[in-house]
Amino acid sequence: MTAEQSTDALLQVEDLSVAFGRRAGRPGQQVLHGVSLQARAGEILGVIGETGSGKTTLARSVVGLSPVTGGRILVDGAEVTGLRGRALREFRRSGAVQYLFQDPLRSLDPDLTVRELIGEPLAVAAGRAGREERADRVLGALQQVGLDAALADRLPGQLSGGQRQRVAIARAVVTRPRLLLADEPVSALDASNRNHVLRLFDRLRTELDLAVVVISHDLSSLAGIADRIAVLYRGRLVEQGPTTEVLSQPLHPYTALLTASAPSVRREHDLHPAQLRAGLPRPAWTLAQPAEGCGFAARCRFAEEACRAQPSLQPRVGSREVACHHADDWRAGLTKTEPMLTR
Amino acid sequence: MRTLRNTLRVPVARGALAVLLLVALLAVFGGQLAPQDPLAQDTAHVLQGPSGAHLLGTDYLGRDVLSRLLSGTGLSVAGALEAVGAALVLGIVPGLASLWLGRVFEWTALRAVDALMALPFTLFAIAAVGVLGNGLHQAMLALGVLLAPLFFRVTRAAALGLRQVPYVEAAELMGASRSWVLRRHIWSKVLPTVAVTTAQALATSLLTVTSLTFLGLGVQPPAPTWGGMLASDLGFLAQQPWAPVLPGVLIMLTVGALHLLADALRDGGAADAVRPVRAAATAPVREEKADAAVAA
Repeated sequence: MTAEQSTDALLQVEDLSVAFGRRAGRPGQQVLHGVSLQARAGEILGVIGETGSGKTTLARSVVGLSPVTGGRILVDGAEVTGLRGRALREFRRSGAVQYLFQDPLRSLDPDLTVRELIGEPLAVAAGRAGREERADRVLGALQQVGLDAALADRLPGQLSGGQRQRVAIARAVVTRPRLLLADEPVSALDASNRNHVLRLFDRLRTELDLAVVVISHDLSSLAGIADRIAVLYRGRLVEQGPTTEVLSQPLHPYTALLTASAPSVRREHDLHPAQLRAGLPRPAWTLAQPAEGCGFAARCRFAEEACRAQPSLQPRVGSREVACHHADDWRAGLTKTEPMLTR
Repeated sequence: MRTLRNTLRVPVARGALAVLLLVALLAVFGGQLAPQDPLAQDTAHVLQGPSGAHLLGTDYLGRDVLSRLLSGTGLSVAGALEAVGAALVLGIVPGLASLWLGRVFEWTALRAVDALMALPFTLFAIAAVGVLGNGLHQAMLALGVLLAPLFFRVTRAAALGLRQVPYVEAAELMGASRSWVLRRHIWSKVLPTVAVTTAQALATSLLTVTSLTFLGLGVQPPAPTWGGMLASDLGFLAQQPWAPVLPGVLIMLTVGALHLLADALRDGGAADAVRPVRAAATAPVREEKADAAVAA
C-alpha cells in the first residue's frame, strides 16, 4: 500500500455528516460527524465500532440510503452524494457499487430461486446483458463464490446460513462491481463459515480488483483480512491506519480498549482492559447532555480539561490518523499496578 | 407462475377448477342449452313438481325452472364478475399506491375508504342507481365501489410490512423501478390474500344480486338470475319448500369451488417452503466439495 493520500481511491468519503429524523421542526439526530476515509481498488477496509457508532449508516450513505447532511462521497472519482431520480437509478443499475445487507435471509426474496435472485441485478438493468449471457454470468457468479450450480433452483429457505450469505455475495459480484460494502457479513455465521466468507472476500478483491469495505463490531474477524482499519466511535472517526499497526500500537485509548478486550487478537503491547477503563468519579462535564468535547471522554481514563475541545483527526507516520489530544502521551499515564492476567 | 403450478398439483384445486369451468360453460352456452323458453309463462301449470315436461318443475308463473337456471347463469356470473372486477381495480390499485405515492395520497385514500365503509349498502345502491340510471351494469358498479374498501384494506395490510423489507430495499439498490418491485417482489406476497378475498367477494356478489333484485335494482324481472329466482322462490315456500334449494345449490357449488381454489392458491404459495428438494440426499455432498474448493 502506498503511504501517500492517493487521489485514485475508489471510494472517497470527505467530511461526511448524516442526520436522521429532521421532521416536524425538531432537530435531527446526528449520526455521523465529519467522517473522512477512503478505499482503493484491491484493498479491504475494515470499519469497526460498537453498536450505534454509525458503521451501517456510513455504508448506507454511500449507496444513497441515508440522509446526507454534509460532506460528499466520491466513487471512482464521480460524486454520488447529490444523485436523485433518474441519475441515481442509472448509477445503481451500473452495479459499480454493491451493498451487502446485514441479514442475508431477509435481503433475499423468499419466493425467488437462487438463479432468479442472482440474475435480478442483471435483469433490472435490462439491455446490459442478453438472456443467455445473464444465465452464464449467474452460473459464473455461483462458481466464483464456491456454490454448486445444483443450488440454482433452490429457494433461500432451503439453504444454510453460510450458503445464503454466499448467494448474497454472488448477487453482489454478478454486476462486476468496483466497490463492495459488506455490512456485518459474518456476524450471523459460525466460525468455519466465517472463515470461508472472509477468505472469499480476500479472493474476490484480487480476482475482481474490488475495493471492499467490511463493517464489523468484531475486531478479530477483521484482523485477519483487512488491509486498513477505521475505528468509529459515536459517529466520529477516532483512528485509522494499516491493520497491523493499529492493532499492535493503537494511538487512541478507545482502540486500545478494543484491542485489549478482544481475546483473540494477537498483540505485542501488554495492555489490560482494566488499565484503560475510566476511574470514578468522572469530571462533571463529560456527563453533560448534550455531550461536549471528545465523545470518548466519559469512558476515557486520560480525559482532562483539554478534552473539552473536540479533537480533530491528526495525521501520523505510516498513513495513520488519530483524533485524540493525548495520542502521544496517554501511555505515560498508564498505571503499572494492575495485575497482568494474561501471564 | 410457480404458485399457479403448485396450486394445480393439488387434487382439490383441480376439482374446483373443473366445477368453475362447468359454470363458465353454462354461463356462455346456458341460453342455448335451455330446453324451453325461460320467459314463457304457462299459467295453467304453476308451481308444479318435476315431471317429464318440466324436469325441475315450474315456478309461480309456470316458467320452466331448469331453463331459467341455465339461462340465468350468464347474468348471475357476469354480474358478480363485473362487481368484483370493479372492486379489484378500485381497491388494489389505490391500496398499493397508498404505500408508494406519499403521505398526502395515503391520507386521502384512507379517509375515502373510511367514508365508503361507513355508507349503508342499500342506501348507496339506491343513490348510485338514481344517479346512473337503473341497470345491471350500474348496480354492479355500485356494488364494486362498495366492495373496493375490502380489497384496499387487504392489499394495503399485506403490502404494508413489505415496503421496508430488506429485499425490497435491495431491489431498489439495483435500480429497480417501482413497477419492477411491485411485480417481482410485492405481488407474489399479496396475491394469496387477494385470491382468498376475491373468492369471498364473488360469493357475496352472487348473493347480493338477490337483495338488489328484491329492491327492484340491477337485473329486472322477468330476466332470470340465480339470486332473483332464490328471492321469488322464497315467497312460495308453503307450496314448494324445496324450490329455493335449486338455485341455492348452484350458488353453493360455485362459491364452494371458488373458496377451495382460493385456499389451494394460498397454500400453493407456501408449498415451496415445505416441499422437499429433489435429490436432497446427494446434494449436501456436492456442496461440501464446493466449500472445500473455496477453502483450498
